[in-house]
Amino acid sequence: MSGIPAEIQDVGSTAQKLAQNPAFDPLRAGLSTEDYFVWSRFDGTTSLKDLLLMTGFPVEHAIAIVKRLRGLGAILLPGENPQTMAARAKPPEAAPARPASQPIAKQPPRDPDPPTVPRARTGPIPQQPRPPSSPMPAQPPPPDPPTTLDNPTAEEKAALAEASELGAPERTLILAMQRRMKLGDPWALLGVPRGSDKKALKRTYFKLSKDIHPDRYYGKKLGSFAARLSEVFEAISHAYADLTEDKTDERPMNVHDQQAQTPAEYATELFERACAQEVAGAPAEALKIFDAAIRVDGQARYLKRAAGCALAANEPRVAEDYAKKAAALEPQDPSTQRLLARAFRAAGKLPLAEEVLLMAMQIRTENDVLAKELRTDLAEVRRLLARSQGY
Amino acid sequence: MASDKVIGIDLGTTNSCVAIVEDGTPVVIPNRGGYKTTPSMVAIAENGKRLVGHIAKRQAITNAENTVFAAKRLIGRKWGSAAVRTSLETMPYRIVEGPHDDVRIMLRDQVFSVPEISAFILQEMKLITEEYLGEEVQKAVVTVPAYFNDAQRTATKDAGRIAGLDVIRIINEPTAAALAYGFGRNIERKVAVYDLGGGTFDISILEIGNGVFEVISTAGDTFLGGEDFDRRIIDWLVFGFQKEHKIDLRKDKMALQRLKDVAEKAKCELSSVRETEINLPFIISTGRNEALHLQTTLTRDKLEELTADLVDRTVDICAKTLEEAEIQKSEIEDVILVGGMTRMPRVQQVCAEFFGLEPCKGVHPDEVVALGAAIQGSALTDEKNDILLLDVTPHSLGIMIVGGYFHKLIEQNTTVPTSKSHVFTTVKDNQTSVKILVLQGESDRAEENELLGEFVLTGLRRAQRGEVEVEVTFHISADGIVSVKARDLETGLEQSITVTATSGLTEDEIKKMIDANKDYMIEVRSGQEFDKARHGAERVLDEVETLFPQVSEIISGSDFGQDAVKKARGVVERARTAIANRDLTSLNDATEALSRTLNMFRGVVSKTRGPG
Repeated sequence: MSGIPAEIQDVGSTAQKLAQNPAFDPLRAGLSTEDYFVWSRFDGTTSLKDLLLMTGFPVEHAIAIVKRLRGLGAILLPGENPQTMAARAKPPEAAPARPASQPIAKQPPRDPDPPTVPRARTGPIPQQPRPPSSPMPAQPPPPDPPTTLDNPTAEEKAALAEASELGAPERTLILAMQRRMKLGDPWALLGVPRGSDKKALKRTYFKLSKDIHPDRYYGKKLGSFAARLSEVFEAISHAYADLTEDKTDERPMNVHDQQAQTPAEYATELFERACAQEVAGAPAEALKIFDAAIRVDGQARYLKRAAGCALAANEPRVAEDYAKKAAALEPQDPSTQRLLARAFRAAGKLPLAEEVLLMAMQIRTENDVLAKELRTDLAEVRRLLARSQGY
Repeated sequence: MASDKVIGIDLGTTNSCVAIVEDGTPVVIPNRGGYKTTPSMVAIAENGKRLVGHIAKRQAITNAENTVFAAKRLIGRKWGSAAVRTSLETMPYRIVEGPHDDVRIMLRDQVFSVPEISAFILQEMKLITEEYLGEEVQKAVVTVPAYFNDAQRTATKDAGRIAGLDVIRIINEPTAAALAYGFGRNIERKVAVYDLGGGTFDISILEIGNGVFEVISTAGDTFLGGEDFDRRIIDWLVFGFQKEHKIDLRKDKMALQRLKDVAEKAKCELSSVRETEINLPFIISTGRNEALHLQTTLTRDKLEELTADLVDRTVDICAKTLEEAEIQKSEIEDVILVGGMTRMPRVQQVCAEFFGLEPCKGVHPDEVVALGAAIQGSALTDEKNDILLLDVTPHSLGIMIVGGYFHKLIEQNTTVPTSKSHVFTTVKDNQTSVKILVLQGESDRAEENELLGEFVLTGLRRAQRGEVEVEVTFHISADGIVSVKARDLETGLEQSITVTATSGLTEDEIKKMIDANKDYMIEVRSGQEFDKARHGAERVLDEVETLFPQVSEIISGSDFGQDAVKKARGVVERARTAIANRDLTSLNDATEALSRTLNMFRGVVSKTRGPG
């Protein structure tokens, strides 16, 4: 079927603008998510033809839904009102059998959207196995945040008494959390047993956030607690991030660590040392170490940094070599192409620099600043070219 | 008088939508015509009148050069950016360079900044709400694409200010969608929001639990949206026509506008049918005054072929985002589709294939963002709403260090509020001051990142390089406001700034625009008030004029009666004149007099009816 019919049986002309029947209760009628969605599109000012094109469902499917809605008395033709509908409405039909689809579960009145229920797949989609999602925590609930503050210090007493729109329980909580911060132990800060798993950590973090995040007290005059809140939230946020970070690619903190370094770790160490040398004003030294790092791990980031360093060390050929390799690895990164153009320029290869810049400018980038820099570079290169071509 | 309520506005590239939380339920506010979305279009008509929304869209073809659409692609952009260059080539309205390397738009003989244009649309959404609620609103939460940088966000906030709105928060569109999806439901899961709208593509990964919505990672492409899909169709039509008639339709602005309209329509239709007719009679005339027609058929397969790389690009971005967030596809339990383009079957299919599950269709792709914005507005201001959004900074922040490199202090996708400190040293002997350039972006080179602000810390001790230590602390508030502090660790001397990127407008310019708009707002309001007064007056006028002949007959017998009739006629004249001049004050006065006249008339008539 390649078009919208001019007429639909039992409904009439598709040029009509139908509206929802305000007396119709969608929840009790057992509508499916799709039925509800289509029903929600009826606003009295859109023609049926337009509506059928707007739903995003195949036309036949949309028409079937419209017919069903009409049959249930859910929609009104122009000129009809709920009274006339009540007269002609049939009792709600049982939802027609559809594979794996369920009627809307009972929801509290304020929930506007029906929950997502497992739906039949419309095509062969490879379904990845998923762990069952638990709507209710199977584990013990996260520990409650601290509610008492023993032996308040003078500073704490002052804070508890100061003029602030924050209530006493909240102030106590924040001051107690600030105490925990002093312990320097992320587990104690979050209040979870050491070694708790990611899920438990997340639950605790979320629960604490609700009481600690500054947004919770938006618009209130907080006095000294504004800064305290921010401080405490940042602390728990960092603690959560640290404790849930994947440990597998963490570098050894201690250079005398007994564990063997992987090549990647070694390369990182070399790279950092090279950067430090460069920044300290010893580019020639740095270049040697960059070279070593790249030999272990030839990633684009190291190559780019090395190229930049080579330019600073007045080694254009070396810079060109590194830049070419980096550009080959990141052909779609205008920044890398720009670096290559700089290297060509330093090597006196102006036509090549111009070419690279022009092509780099064709790459679409988020970065307006970079786009501008490319144009500036191009103008400069062209100026030099004009001069070198001489008069 | 003004309400404390906060509205949520989805300021879209193609369409905008406004919502509010009413008695604990978020609802979209329809406009007078019953529409739940309003086209993001602004035009200046021939008589100089400003048109916004549906009206602007309806006259877009005949007034193409003076109708602005997709202003969102230009907001906060620098003049030299790729977005501006593309728009210069494809937009029928005039785009010119502004004084601060920014962008201005010329309509008829007026020049507008882009935030001003967006302000007109925001103003329209404000009026829609006020008509619905019957009270003034001043606060709003406005959404932006996740990938918008600081300049684009600031420009959006400026637009709100010009429109008379206090934008209390800017949140990302996919985040807003997740809020609407999870509102009122007790769920604990990781979700992906796939947002393919009119102008931009955004993908966000969020973790929801216990009413807390945590953004884990967010990325996007501001050059990828429905407009790009339209452009592929236009290019295909133009190319075919060019082959046959050797004419480039894009050179004719009217033709281009009609092509744009028909391309968008065809694209939407092909979501439901397998092929659609494209019919453009009299699309252009040849040199010999001969009219040419364009008629062809576009199939769904062909459209998918033309746009395959665009759809693939969204998948690439999804893959990269998951990788950076270190999350497996299998951990995502729901995919929420947002934006009109997600109605395209191929997009849904590709999405389902990538994530390995059917995307959630229980949310309305055009309304969900506004609903989410309204929910966040309510969460911030209503005690009873305890939803919490843990948002992230979308771009890395750092400073420039020696060598012109960019040292990141706060990584992209870090939860806010957040602080980070780092100790730096001097690079020259006897260096007594250090310049801090605050930058935002991901490039290694400082000059390729966006400069948010700069300041200088002076009074450092004279010493060998590397001996003096300066601690730089970055802080980002929950509001997204960046402040930077630099402290000489030895003397304790401190210097700090709160940084905001410039949107290309100075404070003075913004103030001028707000004032100019205030006048317009008053004018519009009294327009509404005037209409109400007019209806009231006309009702009384009708009755007075109906009774006039009878009354005249009854009382003209006496001198006083004749004078009274003359006066009554004068009152009617005054009322009619006030209506013709749209003079609200005079009309109110005249209506008062009319009511007295009517009272008198009724009295006269009922006296004579009398008993018997």
